[in-house]
Amino acid sequence: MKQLLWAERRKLRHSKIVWIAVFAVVMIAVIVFAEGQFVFKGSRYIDGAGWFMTAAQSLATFFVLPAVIALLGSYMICREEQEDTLKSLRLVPVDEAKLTVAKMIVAMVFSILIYLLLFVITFAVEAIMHFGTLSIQTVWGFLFTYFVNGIGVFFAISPIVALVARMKKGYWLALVFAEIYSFAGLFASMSEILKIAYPITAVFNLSGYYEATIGNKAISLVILLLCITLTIFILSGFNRNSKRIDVQ
Amino acid sequence: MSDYVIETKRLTKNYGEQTAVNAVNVHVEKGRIYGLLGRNGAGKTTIMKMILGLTPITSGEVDVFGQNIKGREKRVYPRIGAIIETPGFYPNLTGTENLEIFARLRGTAAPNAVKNALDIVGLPYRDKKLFSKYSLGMKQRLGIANAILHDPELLILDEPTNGLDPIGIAEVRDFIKDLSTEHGKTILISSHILSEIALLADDIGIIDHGVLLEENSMETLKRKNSKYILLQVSDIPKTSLVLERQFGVTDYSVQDDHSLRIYNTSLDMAAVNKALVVQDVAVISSQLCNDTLEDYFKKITGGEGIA
Repeated sequence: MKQLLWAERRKLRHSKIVWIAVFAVVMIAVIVFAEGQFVFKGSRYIDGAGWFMTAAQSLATFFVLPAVIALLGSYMICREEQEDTLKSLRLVPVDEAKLTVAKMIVAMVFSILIYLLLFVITFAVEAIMHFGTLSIQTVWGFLFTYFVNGIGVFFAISPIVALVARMKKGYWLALVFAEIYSFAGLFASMSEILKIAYPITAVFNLSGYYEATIGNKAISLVILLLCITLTIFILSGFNRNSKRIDVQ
Repeated sequence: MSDYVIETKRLTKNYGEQTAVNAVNVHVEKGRIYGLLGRNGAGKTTIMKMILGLTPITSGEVDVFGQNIKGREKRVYPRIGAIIETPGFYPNLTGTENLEIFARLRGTAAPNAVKNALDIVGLPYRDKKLFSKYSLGMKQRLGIANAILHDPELLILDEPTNGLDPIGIAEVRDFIKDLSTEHGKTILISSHILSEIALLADDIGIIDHGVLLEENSMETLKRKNSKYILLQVSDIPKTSLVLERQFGVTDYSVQDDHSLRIYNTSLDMAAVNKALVVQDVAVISSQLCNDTLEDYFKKITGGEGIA
């Protein structure tokens, strides 16, 4: 597994998708910063300590990052067939189930890193603007929230990654599906019940972005675990299917 | 246990109603180069895929290193290097980076394995050029480098010279020959180019429409198809006696009850005819034949598709 994880990380070198993700994170920060220039009750939003770190999360999670993470995840899985490297890997031989697990782990790490990158950018701006007002506790709190968002969003979008890999219609579909899926989270957040049960907003319940009771957090956790279970179910079918089709 | 590194027994592959490979018996001996020759779509790649366990077999058996490969992949694959169809690599990585991934996954111990493999095929080590920018010839070379990276005993190469320029083809040919003669590797190579196989292979299998039409050593085939005098006579035993006793000819073969081939074409046929008439043997015809391998392959495959 260690070698597979190393290989998956290496395969992403010079990859455009990684740069697209980094660019997306920077753009989120820029847009939210611009949004923070609006004045409300005599002061700019951005002048409130912690506002930037809070606002960036919702924009990133409802509009951009789930799609980018889904794109990378499905690209990592689909590319072996599309680039015809699967037969070379089979001759190594590489266990395809382990290979898929390695890809999913790397995609999850990527999801965490992308959220942490957003945290670093937003924290840097907050530190410059409100160094005196930010407590260590607040910063740790945000770091935790971003970290859990990274894991949770990956759990939430993982069925899309698996589904697109199984559909074999091109990994760009994952971007489209995940965009619709995450955008729908915006509407789900308006309902108290859907807010707990819809996977994207369930992430916010768990991370602490939304205030939630322990019971609600438990439900959200179960929802996200169900997402991963569904992913495993789809991917196990994908591995069996790809073995059958590839060989013809 | 047989001496064959690869042995197939009535190997068959059906795709629905269509039979792609039909009861093929291939025998690849240790340390030799076996050329699988056939036109495009004849079934060469399918046979190789079945040998490697990359495609299920409809019926028949495949033994690699004396045993069925199924279920023994982890032990057998490290002893095999293969290129099947076009070599697939990661387009966003350089040749070196691609090979490093496969070397690491294979657990290749030699520290210079990647550099050595690239040197052998004439590709630069640590070059910045991405695989997506490689020419077809460079891709093919990288495929060969990947196949030899872990120093395997058996190489299975599906049309390895595809896309190479004439100099590249000659280099790869010399290199493959060297792997067999100097390093004792067993090689199964496929091609639709007769001259390629003729220059390279020790043994040859001719496949057409999924059927193995002939399997023989190249020496035997060349002998079968070199220049010869075809002599048609009324009495073969008497003719043999005359040839051996009066002319010292031993290099001939009897074809049927009335014809034989004499491979010494400098023989004075007028004198032979005269001697045969004296022995009361009627000479029906005597002609110099010059069948090339190409003529032979055309004859047995129906004449098209082999360059």
